[in-house]
Amino acid sequence: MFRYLIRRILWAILLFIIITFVTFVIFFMGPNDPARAQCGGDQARPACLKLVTEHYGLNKPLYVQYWRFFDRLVVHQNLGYSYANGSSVNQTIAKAAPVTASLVFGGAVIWMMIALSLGVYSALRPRSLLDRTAMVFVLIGISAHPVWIGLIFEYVFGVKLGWTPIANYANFFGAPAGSGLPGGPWQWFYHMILPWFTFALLFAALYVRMVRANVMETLNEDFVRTARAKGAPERRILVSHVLRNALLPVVTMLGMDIGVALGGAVFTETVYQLPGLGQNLVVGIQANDFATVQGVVVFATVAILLFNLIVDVLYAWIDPRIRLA
Amino acid sequence: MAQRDEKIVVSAGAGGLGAAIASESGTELGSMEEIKARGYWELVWRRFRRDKVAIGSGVFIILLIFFAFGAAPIVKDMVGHGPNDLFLYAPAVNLAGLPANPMTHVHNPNTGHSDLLVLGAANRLGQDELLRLMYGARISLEVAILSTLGVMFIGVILGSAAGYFRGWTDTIISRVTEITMAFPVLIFVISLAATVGPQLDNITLGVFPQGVITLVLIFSLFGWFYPARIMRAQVLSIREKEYVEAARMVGASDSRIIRSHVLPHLVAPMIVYSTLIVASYVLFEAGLSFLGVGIKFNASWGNLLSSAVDYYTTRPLLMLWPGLALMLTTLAFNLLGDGLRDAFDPRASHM
Amino acid sequence: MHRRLWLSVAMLVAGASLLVAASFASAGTASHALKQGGIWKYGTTGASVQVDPQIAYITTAWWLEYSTAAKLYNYPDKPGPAGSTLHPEVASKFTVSKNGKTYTFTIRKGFKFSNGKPVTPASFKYAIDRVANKGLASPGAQFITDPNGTNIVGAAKVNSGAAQHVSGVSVKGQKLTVHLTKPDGTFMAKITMPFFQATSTALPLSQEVVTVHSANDLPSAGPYTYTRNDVNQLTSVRRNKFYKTGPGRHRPHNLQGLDVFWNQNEATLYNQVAANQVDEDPVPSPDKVQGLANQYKVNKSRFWAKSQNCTGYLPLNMSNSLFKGNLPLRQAVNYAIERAPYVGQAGPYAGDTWTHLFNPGVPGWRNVSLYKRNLATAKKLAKGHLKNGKITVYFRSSGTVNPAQAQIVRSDLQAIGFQSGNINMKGFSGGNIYTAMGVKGNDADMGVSMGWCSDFPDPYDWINVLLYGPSIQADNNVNYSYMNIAKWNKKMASAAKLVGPKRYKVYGQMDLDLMKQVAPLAATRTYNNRYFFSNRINPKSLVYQGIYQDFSIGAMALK
Repeated sequence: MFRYLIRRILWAILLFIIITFVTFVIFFMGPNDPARAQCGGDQARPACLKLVTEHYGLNKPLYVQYWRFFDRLVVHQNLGYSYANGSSVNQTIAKAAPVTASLVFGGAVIWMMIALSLGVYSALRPRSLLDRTAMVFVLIGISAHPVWIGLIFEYVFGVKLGWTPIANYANFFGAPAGSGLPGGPWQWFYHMILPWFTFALLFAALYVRMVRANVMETLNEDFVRTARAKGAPERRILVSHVLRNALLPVVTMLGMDIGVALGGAVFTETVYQLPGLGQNLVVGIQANDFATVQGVVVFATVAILLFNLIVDVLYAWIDPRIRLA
Repeated sequence: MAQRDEKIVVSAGAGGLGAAIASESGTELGSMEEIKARGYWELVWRRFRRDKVAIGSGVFIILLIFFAFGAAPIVKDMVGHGPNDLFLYAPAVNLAGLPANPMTHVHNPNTGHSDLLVLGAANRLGQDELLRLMYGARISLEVAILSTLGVMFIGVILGSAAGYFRGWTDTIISRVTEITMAFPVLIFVISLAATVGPQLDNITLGVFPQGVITLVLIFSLFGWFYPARIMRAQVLSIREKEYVEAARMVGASDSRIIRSHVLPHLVAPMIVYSTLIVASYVLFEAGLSFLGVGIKFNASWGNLLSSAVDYYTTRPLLMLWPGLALMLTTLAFNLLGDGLRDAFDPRASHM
Repeated sequence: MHRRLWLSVAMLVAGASLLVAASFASAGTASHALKQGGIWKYGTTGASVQVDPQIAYITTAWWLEYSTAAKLYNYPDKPGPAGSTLHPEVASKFTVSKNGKTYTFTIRKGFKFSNGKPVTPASFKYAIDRVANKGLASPGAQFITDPNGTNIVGAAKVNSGAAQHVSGVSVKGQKLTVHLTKPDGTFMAKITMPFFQATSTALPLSQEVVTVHSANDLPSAGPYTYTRNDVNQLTSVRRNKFYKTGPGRHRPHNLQGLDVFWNQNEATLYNQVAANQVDEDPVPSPDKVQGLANQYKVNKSRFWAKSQNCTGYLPLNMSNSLFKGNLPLRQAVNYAIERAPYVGQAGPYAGDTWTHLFNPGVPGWRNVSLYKRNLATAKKLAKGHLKNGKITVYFRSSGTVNPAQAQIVRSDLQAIGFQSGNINMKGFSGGNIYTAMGVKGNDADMGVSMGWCSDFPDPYDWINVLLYGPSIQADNNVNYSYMNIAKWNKKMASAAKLVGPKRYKVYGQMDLDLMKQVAPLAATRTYNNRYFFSNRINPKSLVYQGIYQDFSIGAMALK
């Protein structure tokens, strides 16, 4: 186990170098000029562009810039400063990560709740009316544009019915003093309800169907028949035999979706104006703010590696037959 | 190479073991294999035929393909204009800048005739929503189906190899998977759009509309890790199952075990995953078109979905048409998938 | 579009004579009738801007700076021409030496920063030191180190990192003296840019201030000050409690403050303003605009449309083979473009169709339409001039408006004879099209959805900046047409030397002549800012300031 962890960490470091360098190379492949953001955007003039380019060392060779980034990150744990607004990327990530985490984990809870209840129920009564209805319901989630779903939710529940806020984020630990913004656990929850459901809809379909298929598959396994034959109560069979086995691939998916979620979060964060990582990534890309973009990429890489490690360990726990090799 | 025996943890189940050995020794009789294989497909077809819903879905998909490839040009001739023709002036686009409602007559400057926009206009360019829906079906289905095939092909092979052989194979494949997962696809795509995107879009292989190949490449290249990881997990668990061990005990080769005992169990998750991912790719295409990659001026369902967002309160029907089309298609693929799964996996029909 | 703003009508005509000490009538005569206090909530789809006074440069940043800055001379919070005349603010007066190289300002007492410290002449010297500082890399440095324009003695040395303090700026008692290397008529216009506002020494000399949590973090001396800056989330300005009415201090400040929410979604922001939860939406969804105009009328209550000093155009690359020496084809493009739907893609009230460079904000503009759409003429002109029949068009691929405009252009190009397979459309996200088109030798024949906004309302900023050949360099060009014709270069250079009404007359004519005789570009449109307000705001308090082309924050009031 210990050697396994060491190996994984060494690999993580190598992967980190690969990913960050590749990001550097592909970013500077296109006609991107980060200096433009500080020089008035579309109407940037040569004199200003030259000044800012030199200031940030954007005219230096790629490997020199990469080395500077790497050195700063490793020695000072500093991701640098935004080319567009001068803010510390460390701070940006520190502020944005909890927002995205709120969205992703809250959303995951909801989609897992939908997936487990609908998935298991459909598997127990396959091809029933309920099974088919559940399917149509979850398919809506992947057949309409997520931004559109968000806007409709917001319009119906926020504007017309007034049950929820229209948009924006409320900090779980209270709003910054003097900002006049809502804050605290209740406000956080209240502001996240719509985003959670919107986000969960993106993934619910896949998970409902996966849980359904896995449960149906497992119900046919020999050990389930054995358990039944031995007269174990149906409820117990379902929980300790079927679900446990059926969830294995679902855990894999959850681990992977941490990476995919960042992409999916872009839509939800945009429509509900949540200042999370996805939004920062898009804004950064639009402004050619490479420092911020790279910061999000670094953070996402680390998060993905971490979650996959957790998933691999979880596997071994759920299915003892698999050991960490 | 099979794992060393001392590593295998046997978790009993005597009945299962016996049954597995029995079935395994049955198929070992080479002379009967030919006949049995034919019987297998016949059985599959027989079981599938009984499933009316799946048959209906299959028919729907065939109709859809006809609708996309065959009917679109006919409708085009009937209405007198093409899916990319612009109707820039009122009433196709009214003075408030809103696309025309269904059943609006517009003047066609090329023919001088009065043309009918059956489902109204799709956007502020006054393009025909119905025609774009029909022509879009073709591009979207091509992108979605080809990408799904690509993703499943790479994913299943790499995933099952990693899960079955474990050891170094697994390590290498898993590491490559992680690189793919962590790869900043969004940034890559934007750089791509500005650099080699236009050249890439021009690759059509003589059959596909512009941009289809670009999208298929992007989706396949960055999407395979998903099925690969699922397959790996499934195989990891299957390879430790009693019947696999039993097969190994009687000396079956790796390729035989994979073919006869591992792959059949992967059919269910593969089908479920592919039938859903088809719909996701239509949506991804909407997202990527927004970033300037892939389908630009031609119609696609992704285009229609993303432009409908602009008019979500003023022209809600614009979301309904492509949304409904996409939902019915996905539903059909899923129901068909269910039927296929049951047909391939006889145990499910015991239920 | 981002536009930076600086300038004055006075600047090139120059000098002290125009800066007549005006009557000190309170800026809003009706201000006592307006409600005092309240927080104005402003949402924008734009990303966070810089707040450091020596770094802030783009539109929204300067809009905020105009409320927080105290400058030597300033523009009153008034609409129309009254708003574009410089008035003394912190300086009570200034004198210019006979050789035109030394400016001496007398600084008033009584101005205070939001941390309670007084404003002194050294506050302005510190601003200039910061602008010139190498480590800070202020975009303002280009305006005081220009060897051909405004060049403060010693500024270039500081900018190269060889010194800390600009030697040409000195302080004695209440006097601030600035030495220039050569006389410069634009100096007053430049020194009144927000870069050169009174700056507290609480700001580090060579480090940008980004995070703000109280009025002490980024002290400023205007009626308002920054009290919060959470990047990409919330920026707040609040009244500077040390700003007391007195000599030079009579700018309105009705609101308690203003909150800016960044990165908002266009449709969501609209919903929030419609529900009166946010007060101002500067980018109402195009599909809602006509409804707003019908319901609230234009520029009366909750919907406003105000013109910007910007012109949209399609540059035609005269250095690449297709348009090189191909006047008929360039004219054909001008005749072929369907401008009304092109503008219409951005929704109603987005601007007007336009066929020449000078929009109504540029002195000397003529109200003419040079190219009415005429397909027959366009085809006749294009016939035989399509070269090899291939054309490469750069367009902006982000959003839905830009690609739609590209489709219109594409269809118009087909109408004059280009085969659809020979039109190579190359998409660029965000503003990258400008970077790509700015590289000399790029493969674009034309660009779509491009435009130019004036930095200062002078024709020089259009014709000489956009079309003057000798300024073409390897990259970062703004002459996207790569026009370089000796005869016209000479005309532009000589027009630049003219002053007064003649200057505008000559340039105005040159604009039309260029568009007809050279057609280096196809002008398409003008731009409007559109605004949607909540029912909380008092429409009578909306004062559109022509200099920074937005509503004065000081004059704003709630109901």
